[in-house]
Amino acid sequence: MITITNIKKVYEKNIFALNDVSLNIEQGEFVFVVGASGSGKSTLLKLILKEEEITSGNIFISGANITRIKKRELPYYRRKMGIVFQDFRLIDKMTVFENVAFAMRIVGANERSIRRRVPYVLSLVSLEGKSNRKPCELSGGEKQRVGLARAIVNNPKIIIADEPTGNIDPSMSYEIVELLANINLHGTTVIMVTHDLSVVEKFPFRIIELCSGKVRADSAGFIDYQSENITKVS
Amino acid sequence: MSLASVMVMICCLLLTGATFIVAENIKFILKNIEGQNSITVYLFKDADLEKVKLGINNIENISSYDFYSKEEAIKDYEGMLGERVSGFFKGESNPLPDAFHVSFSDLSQYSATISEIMKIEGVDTTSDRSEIAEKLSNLKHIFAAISFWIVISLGAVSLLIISNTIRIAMHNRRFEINILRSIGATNNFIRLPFAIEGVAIGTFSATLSFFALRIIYSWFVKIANNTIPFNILPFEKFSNQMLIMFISMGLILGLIGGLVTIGKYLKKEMSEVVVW
Repeated sequence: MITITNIKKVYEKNIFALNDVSLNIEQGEFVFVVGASGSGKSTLLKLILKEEEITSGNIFISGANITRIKKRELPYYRRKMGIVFQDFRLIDKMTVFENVAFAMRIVGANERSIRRRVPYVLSLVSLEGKSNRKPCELSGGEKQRVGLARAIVNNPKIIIADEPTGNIDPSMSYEIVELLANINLHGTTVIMVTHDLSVVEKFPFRIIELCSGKVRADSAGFIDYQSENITKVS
Repeated sequence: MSLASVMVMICCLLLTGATFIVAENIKFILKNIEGQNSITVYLFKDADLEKVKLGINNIENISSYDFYSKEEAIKDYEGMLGERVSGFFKGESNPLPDAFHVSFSDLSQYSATISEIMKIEGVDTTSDRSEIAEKLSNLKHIFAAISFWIVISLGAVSLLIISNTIRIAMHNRRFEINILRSIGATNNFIRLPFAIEGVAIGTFSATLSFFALRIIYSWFVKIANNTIPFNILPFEKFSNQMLIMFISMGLILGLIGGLVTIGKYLKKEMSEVVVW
């Protein structure tokens, strides 16, 4: 599904954000990406989203090399993914229903399918009774569930969750990851960046640890042979 | 900020409209002056009047002419000379020549027309007003150039103001735009509401400016008709033209201002989908 081969991302003054990273994420996998600040987690997500250009190496998604995607094709590429943000990124003036529906409008869905699909997706995240509420009337956990509903409403093949539990209380955190796990059960690949080790420990998913721009550990046993610091986590 | 841009755009359109009105009025006044503009063509004493008439008729640039006999001329001098003095110059002893008052259709061909008149048999000389004609014609050209640059400058100012408004609007909505881009919205999808905003600002300002100018100008016409020694055009003479001009300017400036700004903004500041 996602094959990353020897990618390097070098910023000005020879700062290596990612240095020779290779990974392979299978379709339907759930992957936690962990690491300290500055380890390269954000850069990895930015490169997958093609928000930044790779200095060298390649990223293949479903066999297609994303370095060859043209600017005008980017929106269509990003529609294959759903993004969940740490700060929810909901539009305050819109209701829960509208926040989810507008993701469908962007891809050109008709009103009939929006009216059918949005309530279904909201029921998946247990928000069926709150579709007319505004984000300011919701708790942190509920807001994140709206974000999740928006991310999955267009049936993406990949979900990228950037610290989705960072702004909510611990009890809600498990609930959010459980929802992501449920989505994953239906075959959606989930890449979740997190600092929250308690969540990571609780779920039996693959863990990739980044450190100073390199893969320090990968529980799937994918070994970066060029790195001496690699450790295999079982 | 939208209110500020509407106000600035109204000011720009009012100034553009005022320039247009002044230009139209100058054109109108010049046309009147041109119409009235005539020279006197003096004839030799033994000139054949019919031949001279025929010669004048053959010149295209002459819109009209009147015969001005030497008897009429001496009558006109009576007031200045007094009846006793002018009495000596009546009949055979009248020293003044017969003449024609000739009006031109196009002042820019003044010199060429004078040359043609001088070629007519029986014509002695003409009263030369070429300098005045040239000045009037130059004034028209100068004002046309000035109006052109005023309209261009004000257009540029309006463009800048609309562009700034859209930029601020986009900056205020950058959060929303980030979300749109992350979900896969195309640039056109993001552009559309801002382009509509630009067009709305432009059209709304144009409509308000039109009615404001109409009120101001009508008030000015009322005052001017009692104070200025010549007629000026009523607003109705160019109201349709003005409305079309304002709406087109508003639409075009709004749309261009909006689209250019959004294009630049999307390229420079909105390149990041997710800000970590």
